[in-house]
Amino acid sequence: MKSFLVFFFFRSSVRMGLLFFLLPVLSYGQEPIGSVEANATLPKLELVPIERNDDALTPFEKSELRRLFGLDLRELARRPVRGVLGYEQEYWRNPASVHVLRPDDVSLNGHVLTVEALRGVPGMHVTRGLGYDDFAIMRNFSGSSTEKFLAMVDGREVLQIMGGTVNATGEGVPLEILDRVEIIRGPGASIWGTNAVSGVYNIVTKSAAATQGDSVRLVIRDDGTFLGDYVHGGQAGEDAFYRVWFRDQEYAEGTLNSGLSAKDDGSFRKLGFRYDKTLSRDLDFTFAGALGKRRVHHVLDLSQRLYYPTEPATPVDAALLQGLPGAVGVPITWPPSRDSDLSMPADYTRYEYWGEMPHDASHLRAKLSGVTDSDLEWSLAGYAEQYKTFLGHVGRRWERKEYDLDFKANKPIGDRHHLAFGLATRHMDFDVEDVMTPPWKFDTNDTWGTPATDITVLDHGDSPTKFDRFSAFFQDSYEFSDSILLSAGAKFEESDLAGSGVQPGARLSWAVNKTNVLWSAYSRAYRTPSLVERYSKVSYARVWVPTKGIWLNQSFPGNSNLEKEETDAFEVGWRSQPWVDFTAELSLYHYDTSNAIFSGPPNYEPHDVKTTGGELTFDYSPFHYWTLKGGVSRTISKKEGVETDNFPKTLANVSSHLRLRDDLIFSQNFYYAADRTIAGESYNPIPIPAHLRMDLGFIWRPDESLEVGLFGRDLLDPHHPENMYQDLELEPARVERSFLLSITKRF
Amino acid sequence: MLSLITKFKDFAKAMRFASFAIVSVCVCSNASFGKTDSSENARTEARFKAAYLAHLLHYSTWNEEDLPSADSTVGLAVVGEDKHHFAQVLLYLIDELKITIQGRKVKVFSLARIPDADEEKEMFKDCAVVYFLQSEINRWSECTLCDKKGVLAIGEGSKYAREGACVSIVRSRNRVKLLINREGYASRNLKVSSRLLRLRSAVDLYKKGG
Repeated sequence: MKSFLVFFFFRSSVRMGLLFFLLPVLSYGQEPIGSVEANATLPKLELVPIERNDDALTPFEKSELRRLFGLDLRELARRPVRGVLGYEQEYWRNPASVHVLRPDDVSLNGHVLTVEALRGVPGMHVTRGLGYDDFAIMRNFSGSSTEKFLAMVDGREVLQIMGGTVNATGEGVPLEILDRVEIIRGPGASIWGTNAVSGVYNIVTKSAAATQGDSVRLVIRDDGTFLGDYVHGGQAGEDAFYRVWFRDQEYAEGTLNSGLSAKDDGSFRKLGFRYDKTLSRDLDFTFAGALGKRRVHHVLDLSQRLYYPTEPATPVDAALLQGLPGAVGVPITWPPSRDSDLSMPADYTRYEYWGEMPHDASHLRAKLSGVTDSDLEWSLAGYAEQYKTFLGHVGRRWERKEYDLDFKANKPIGDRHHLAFGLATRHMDFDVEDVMTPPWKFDTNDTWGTPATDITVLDHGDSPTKFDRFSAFFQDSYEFSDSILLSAGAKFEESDLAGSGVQPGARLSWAVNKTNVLWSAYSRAYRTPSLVERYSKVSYARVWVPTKGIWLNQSFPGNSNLEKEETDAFEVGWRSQPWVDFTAELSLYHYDTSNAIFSGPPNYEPHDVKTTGGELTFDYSPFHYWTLKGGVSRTISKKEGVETDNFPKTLANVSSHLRLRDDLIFSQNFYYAADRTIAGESYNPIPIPAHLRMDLGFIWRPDESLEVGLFGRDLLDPHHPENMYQDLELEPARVERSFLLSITKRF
Repeated sequence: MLSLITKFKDFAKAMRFASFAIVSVCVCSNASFGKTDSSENARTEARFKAAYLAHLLHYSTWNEEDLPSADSTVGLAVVGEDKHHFAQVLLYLIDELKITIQGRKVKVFSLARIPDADEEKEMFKDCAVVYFLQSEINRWSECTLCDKKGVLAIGEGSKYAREGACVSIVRSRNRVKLLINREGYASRNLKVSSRLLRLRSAVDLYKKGG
């Protein structure tokens, strides 16, 4: 017992002793909270040189830092520190497939207009038609001409609800005032709005303060096409700036695929202004507007519109030649035919009617925006727009007046949430007048056999002309951690054209490590059918009834029962920046669409469409004097289970800029589009072969005030076709090899 | 008119739901998740401040006599507890974009805290810029070495400019901006560009008593 007690006491003493001596060692470096030990001395204070540690910043952060420094102080002051997912398009954790174009993407690549630069965006297919119409389609959706994405300029929707198209030329702005174009591939309805089914593009212009002084840009093509922009900016008092600009574009006549002249020469002139004033700290006012006038002619091909009733139907000229009983020729109101070496169906004679197509558009935009002390950012914007056009080739004159009011706000809540919400209302008022065009001014009978002399090609009839829309959205972005972000929201809408609807969306972003981000998204979006699809009766064919000696009109009514197209979209993406000079992105998507409408009469029946595809893009600067960008996209679409071929399944592009000297850049651009077919309900389908386009250019920038560019475009072949309005035009125009000089001077 | 009212009623129903959803989110977010430190937000803010600082160097002018010879290096000291690697962010920007101060290369240093009065008086001898992090804001008024001529004193937080520094970089309303004390500049033999002072959207001027 005694030994045990001694051992126990000894063991305890050793433990206590060890504790007594070890405690100071364990405590070393840990300053007791709220106290300093007596007689303790602080380490010697000295300046420590910082050695560069490349791991301190991720490549994503380095890129962002360079971009921030590239902003001037005024722009930096406007930039929110914490943004809303879906708004901050250049944020690497953004769970969406985003591409940003800048003015250099237009000027260094020899593009005349901003819309042409969309050719360099993987997943987008941009084609040129007659009359310098540019068609821009995204992710194999909808056919050849109808845009099923939301197009905006400074927040103003520019989709023409009449035909479901965008007048890209008419909505263009001078390059000098362009800040960027944000392209979001994939539905973004919860933030952006209706019709953002395949995506969104948003043209953002610079503030008036950022375009002070004068600048002139001239672009001249070898065929005589000319573009001139003049921009003047000045100060209108303390904290107030203004800008005015003028554009003149003259189109030279193009050539059809057969070699005939396209008769599409014309002009476009536009005037614009902007006034910005800082009313008080973090309260800004903007007032802007523009007025544009475009004058071109457009063609309606008549060659296959008058038939003799055989099976299949025979054109009347051919019936006459074949000696079919009672056959007659075309009415005398028809224009004389043009010879064509186009391989047309046997015995078809070519007839065309050109009508003038004047187009006047004007808009005003006012916006008040601010930030409160509680970090609530808000904006209240109003738009008024008037659009007048006459489609002389089909005899439709229409005017649209539109008024919009839009309130948006966002606010960080705590350290992890960021809420965005908004309300909007729109009122549209149409005045539609359909007139007879000369070729159709001959006696006919309507569908029921009643004589009629005034059947127009398009007939809006008594269909509605006033439409209202109310909408609201909210979205919450939540940071689970520094690497996981979730954004969820919905848009609610009540509209005369689409009824009531909810468009929800959820997006998740995961920064796997310092150089890789994965994201995924689900969205539901819908598209409103155009007014033509819903309400226009199209009468552009007549059948000769020999037994009665009468013409019988063929009408194809619109479908007023068309419901909105609804798309469920599933997307995943991977974004990698292993080092600051190299970025790669992969996006994969699957869209499941019901009630999809494919553009063009006479058939406006809805279809189920499934579209699957992906885009791979890269951005690489192997050396400080060489930058490479590019991408490839692949997409397959099935309509009612049958694969469609009206969109190229593969698209690719590469852009290379080599700085030969400090003031000289050599630009090389390659664009590839796989083959496709322009389907024709009434006409033979037109195959558009696969084509590879090469553009080369030299750009000389001796200083910041002058830029001279010389470009050769489509150098690999003399010409190729790209697109046309199916069922209106017989053949597409040639997109020809061309040479272009551009000069930009700032004063 | 009746159809408009009907449409608006349907819309109002949807709005009631939306309002409920918004309020629910706000309540849940504040009730369930208290304030937590988000280092990503702090790092983002650090990048903004570094970009501002880099611009500020361009808008400030030193008297040549207060700078070392043209082929020398000048120091930029970052003082305080640098939790978000602000010094590294700044160094990256200076190195990559070859930022200089009146032709002189810039070397970045760190200093753990504002020196006491009895510590080495030549602490900022070779520095043209001293940047005080937020951790030092309460010790700024005690600093006797911080008003040296030829040294641009910048701090995180408005208190710095209000108590004699040249510039404060402040975060307010989800933005980063500058608060400039012209007397702070003048007392240190420095000049600030009038072009910077006119940028009201980015710059506030400190007025004594204001």
